[in-house]
Amino acid sequence: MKLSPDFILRTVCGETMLMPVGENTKRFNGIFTLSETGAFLLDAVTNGATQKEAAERLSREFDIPHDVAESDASEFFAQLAEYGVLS
Amino acid sequence: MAEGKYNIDAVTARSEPQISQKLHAVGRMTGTPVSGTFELTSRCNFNCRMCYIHDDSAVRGKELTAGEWLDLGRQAADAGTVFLLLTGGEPLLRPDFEEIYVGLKKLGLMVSVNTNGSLITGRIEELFGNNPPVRLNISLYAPDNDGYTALCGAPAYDLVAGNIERMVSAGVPVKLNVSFAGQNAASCERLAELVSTLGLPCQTSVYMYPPVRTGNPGRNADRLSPEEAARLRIKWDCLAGSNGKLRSAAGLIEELSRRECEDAVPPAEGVRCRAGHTSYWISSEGRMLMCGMIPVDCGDVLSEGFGKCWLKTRELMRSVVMPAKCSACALRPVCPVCPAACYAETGIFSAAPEYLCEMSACLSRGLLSMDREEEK
Repeated sequence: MKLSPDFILRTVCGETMLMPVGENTKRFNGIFTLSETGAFLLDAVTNGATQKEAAERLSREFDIPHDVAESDASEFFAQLAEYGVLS
Repeated sequence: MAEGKYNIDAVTARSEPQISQKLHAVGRMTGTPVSGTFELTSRCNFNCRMCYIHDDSAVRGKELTAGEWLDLGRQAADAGTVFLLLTGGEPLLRPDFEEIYVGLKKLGLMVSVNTNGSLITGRIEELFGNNPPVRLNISLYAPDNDGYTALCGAPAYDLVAGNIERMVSAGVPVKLNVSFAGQNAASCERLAELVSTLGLPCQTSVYMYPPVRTGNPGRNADRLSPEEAARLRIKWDCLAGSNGKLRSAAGLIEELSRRECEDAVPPAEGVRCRAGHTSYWISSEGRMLMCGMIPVDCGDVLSEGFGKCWLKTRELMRSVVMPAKCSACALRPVCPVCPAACYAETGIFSAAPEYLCEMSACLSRGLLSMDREEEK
């Protein structure tokens, strides 16, 4: 999966943010801030991992129970899908 | 908050989104230029008498090109700029405004635009409707064409009002900026009613800086007297229903005065000045400034690059010391003093701006007097 060209990912002052660009600002005119785990998941899927693999990596990296990681990842990816962040 | 005659969404420091507050707070420690202003032109199609820039000369030859602005935008984004304001003069006067605006937005910058609202037609109207700024700040000078003529030299009310309505209908986030001078002070209530009817967030100013670019510290013949400015501030805030904060501040002043506690500097409310700490201004000629109201040159961005100029800006601001009188002043809770005001009023940073001293004293007296009247 790739980051949609309607967004740019930026990290400033320790904050990882998704900024809408172009006419996407008509749909979403704000800043999507990512938590540390959110940024981790996004990085994983945009570098070739499936959503399931990303959840597994999250569980290992942050020492989170697998079912919790899977549930959190699922919710996160659903939010990204709602805003068209991934393509 | 006390209820006013009109219900106005007053924009204050407390309206600032949390992400912006957080970025600026961290940026202050890391020296990151989180927000900036690009002054695309000093030209304007209005001739507002109290304007800080007031440049009537044709300076198109000295303005940066669109390519130069976009390159600066890239450098700014790389350095950490998130929020960018496009201003002037009147930025929509530039025939290449769309190229600059679209290009900067593509860099992942949250772009706002300041405008007098008279040129939001045709292609620009379509542009903002399809690709809106994060905020479109439209100055509203008067409630009618005669008022516009008196203040701005152009009977532009109908045009501006129509453009505001079309932008709102198109879903563009609009904020109104209302600035008071001698020519529109009498229209205070009509302007409050108009803003309330429009139902838009509004930021008001009663303090007009001297026209700093022409180098006349302390002089602005068209602005209100300090006493008039204070009375108008109270009047507007009462009309808008936003006088609660001011009256709390006045109460604090009274308490401190009673205790005669010289060491208890009242806590500054709202946002501390960010100029030169996390924000910068680039003039239409490509000079970096700490703030648009401080005409101290911090470098030529074209020849020296953004990064070097930003370092100079930070260094210069670090050397600025507020007047001792201001640091210990009991009127701080109601006084909008800042380094820019000191410099604009006196020509140096370390002298207290007497205009603001008088205005704040009048403001404090006025608010305390209101409280006593109500107690009776």
